[in-house]
Amino acid sequence: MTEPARLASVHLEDLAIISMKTLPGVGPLSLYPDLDAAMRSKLRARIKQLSRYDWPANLTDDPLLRRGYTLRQCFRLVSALALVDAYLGPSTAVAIAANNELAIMRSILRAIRADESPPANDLMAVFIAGDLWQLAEADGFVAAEPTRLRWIERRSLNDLWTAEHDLEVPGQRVVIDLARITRVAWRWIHARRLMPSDAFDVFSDEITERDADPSYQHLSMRTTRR
Amino acid sequence: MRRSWISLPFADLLGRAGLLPEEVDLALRKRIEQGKAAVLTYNEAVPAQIRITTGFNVVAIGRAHGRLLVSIEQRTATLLHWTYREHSRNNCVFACLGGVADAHLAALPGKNLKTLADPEFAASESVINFIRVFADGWLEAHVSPEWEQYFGKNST
Repeated sequence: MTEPARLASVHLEDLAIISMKTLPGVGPLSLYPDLDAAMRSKLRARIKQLSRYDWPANLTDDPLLRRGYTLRQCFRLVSALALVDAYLGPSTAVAIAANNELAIMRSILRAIRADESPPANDLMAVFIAGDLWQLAEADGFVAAEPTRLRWIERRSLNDLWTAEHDLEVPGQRVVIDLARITRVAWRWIHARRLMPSDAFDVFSDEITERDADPSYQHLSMRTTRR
Repeated sequence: MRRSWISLPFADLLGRAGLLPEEVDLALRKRIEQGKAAVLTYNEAVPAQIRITTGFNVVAIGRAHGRLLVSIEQRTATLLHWTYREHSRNNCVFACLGGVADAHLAALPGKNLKTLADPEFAASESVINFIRVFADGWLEAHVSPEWEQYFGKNST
């Protein structure tokens, strides 16, 4: 009874496509997306691809994974999918999502709690890309911690190159609007009541419990496919 | 062929829609043969036919361990009224918005679902095992519907 609610895996493709496709605003959600089998299997393949990198979890660290994903794992999945959606390969997407997990979860928590307030305060994740820069100056690239997401409020998007927002390094900026994506994801889960409403409270406790932990941790990932 | 079961509530819905459990089984088997997931989702023919003929918003039909499992979300465009989901043989949940006094809730386990709320199909006759109340006013009644075997009755 005390274990957290889980979203069964049959809903994952729906969750993925709804959170990626829904436009900002308060229009009605398409609760039952019309996905044909080919599209569904493509999404399923993407999700499986992520799970080969042990994301959002593997059966060793969560034996109950077969029953479905907890809300935190759903958000982990959605955040990695958002990066995959930006043409990043799964190994990069998972590395970024894992290294910045706490920061991502905190921004999600803040976005969903502030659902009613104007979205100008939303934190946007900024990813520093530097495929060519890396060739010219490998040390500088590594020192800039390219897998660390920078965070900037939506209204400050003009300041994408300022030291004030920890954005003085060279390289291209990829801005990911995780707040909107995950807000849609939770709205959809909630509207269909695929998880009881206390799932969000459980998630919120889980994250606030770790308030003291650093938001960026460089984890050594398993990168080989099994 | 493996032995197969269907819950009485779902059999009631299928009967109203003029479908047989074997037809649903066949639709699922076709999907498996095509290498697709063994779930009939919202936009497929069988759930759509049940929705049109009975008015019950069937969102998914699956099968696990030889049992057909139905999932219903009764709703208007913006408001969810109740849900009935069969996750497995022993895990069938009816959920609705509560507002029921605690004393009344305590007396409900062991009684039929219709003493709590009547969804107007055979699920009303299922026995309530226990009830969970949530902070937002929803409550989940875990029910045990009866199951009938529709295939392989005479095999082992």
